[in-house]
Amino acid sequence: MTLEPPLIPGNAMNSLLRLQRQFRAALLGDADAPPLPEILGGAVDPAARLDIYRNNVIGNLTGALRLTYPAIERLVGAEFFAAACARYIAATPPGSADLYEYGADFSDFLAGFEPARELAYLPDVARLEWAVNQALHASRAPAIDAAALADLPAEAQADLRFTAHPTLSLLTLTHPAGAIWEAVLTADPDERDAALAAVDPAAGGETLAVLRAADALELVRLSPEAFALARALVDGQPLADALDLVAPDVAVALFGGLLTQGFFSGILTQPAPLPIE
Amino acid sequence: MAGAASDARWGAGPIPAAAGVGLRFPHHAAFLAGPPAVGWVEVHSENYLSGPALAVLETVRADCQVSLHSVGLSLGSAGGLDARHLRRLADLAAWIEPGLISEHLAWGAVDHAHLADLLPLPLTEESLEIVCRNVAQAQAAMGRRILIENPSTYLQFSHSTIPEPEFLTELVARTGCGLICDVNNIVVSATNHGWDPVSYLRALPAAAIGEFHLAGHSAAAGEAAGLLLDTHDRAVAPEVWALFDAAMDLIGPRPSLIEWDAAIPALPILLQEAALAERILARHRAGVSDDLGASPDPGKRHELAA
Repeated sequence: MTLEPPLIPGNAMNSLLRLQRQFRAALLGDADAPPLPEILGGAVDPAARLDIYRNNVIGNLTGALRLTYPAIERLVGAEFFAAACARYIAATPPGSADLYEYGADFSDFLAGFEPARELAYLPDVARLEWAVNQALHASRAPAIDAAALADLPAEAQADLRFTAHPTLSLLTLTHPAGAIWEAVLTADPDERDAALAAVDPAAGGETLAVLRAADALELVRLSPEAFALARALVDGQPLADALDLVAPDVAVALFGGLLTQGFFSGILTQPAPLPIE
Repeated sequence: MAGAASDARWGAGPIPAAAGVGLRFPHHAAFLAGPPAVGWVEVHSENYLSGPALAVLETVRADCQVSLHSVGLSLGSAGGLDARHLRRLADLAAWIEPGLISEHLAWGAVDHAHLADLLPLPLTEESLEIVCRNVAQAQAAMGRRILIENPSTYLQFSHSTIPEPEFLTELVARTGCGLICDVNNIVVSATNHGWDPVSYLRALPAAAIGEFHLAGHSAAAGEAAGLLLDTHDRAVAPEVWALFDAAMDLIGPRPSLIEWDAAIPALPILLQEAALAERILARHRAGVSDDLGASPDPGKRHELAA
């Protein structure tokens, strides 16, 4: 959110704002960007001077994406990754100065990136890496455990709703992205090759939770039933309604498992507000 | 977040006119493993807004003074500051209680796009009004004075009318901000634009300078050959040390930071650079009175250079 451009008396259009727009267009390589005749040359010509900034911008932002998407870079190779990033950066520059917030829709970009079309699992791996990035940088919060429920009267429990832990992401992936992610980030190159060879990219999808309830990042594989329960609770459904989604004989155990793994950071005992018409 | 002022572990007082180092991720483990081998550190605020890095900074802050140096506030943006980013930086400052807060004379954002670089401004009356307004807004949000760093630049604009040191002098006069004198940036920009580095130094308002920066630079190749690049990827160059020595005579000792951001060496190498800065500072501190920023106990800081 930025302020309105300040208006300088005598200028119909703020000339610095115009220059900054042109500079941005030149850096991000819009083919039809107007040239910047205001740049002085001298011993080195203006284009070479501007190139230094272009290389810095693309290099810094590619570096930020490399930190968030190390598995993607390993899967496609550094050169391909850099080329994909350059295209992504030009189309979608960061909306925040905090570069940990950059790249939220990189998976969507990869899904439409023609040169990567044969790597159908790539967008799913990127979604997982974004969830990992979110888990690492979301604010820390203590998770609640079963003891937090013990004090509540039994008749209140059916209406309980929960606040998802701020680091939690639930992912439905159509490819075995968790297995690919774990394999490709194996540190030892020989072990990595073996791990990757053991993954069948055509295998089915996975339902995953990513969170950092304690200090360590966790990748939790959930059964379809546990995932449905978690999804309903994260979406704010009352406990009784969520438990109705799964078989009665396993419902309580599944819910206990989610609690133990730190999926929730708060309990809401009030009913959900009525939707506003 | 609660304020940290009541926490007895938290160090107190201003940052001394001694050498510090930029704290970077490869050295986190070393800083967590034992007492820091340097009096103060500076971090790039944007890298410590959340997550594990913030936890490291909280731990380091318990043992030594911290300076918060942001790179993404874009004080030169004609469209004004990003209010959310300013609030996050102010929240970080309220939590960490840094000895110094600083930013650059540069821009990096336009129309909500953040370009992650320190881009050059035309030095005009219009730019000066915009930067003054943005600096005033930043200082109001932080509730304190901030330091503005002279940039390294690779190009100049034909419609610039104000020499850079005059622009900074006027910024200080209009907003009450202070300055970082980045000695390496003076050498880089002076080479790139044919300025005289000592004249630049003389033209800065000495009393407003609250910190020095020192870093390594490299020579551009190819089409840009002849220019210097502010790469922070090696030791401080001899001509930068010489200009730093001249700055001691013209300006006096101040907190002085070694920045090393690429090809980052092992911590002992970085600390050796800080020790070189400390030796120069110590030589000039000897005859300087406390009210100019010298420590009442200079002997203690000499351990670094020993």
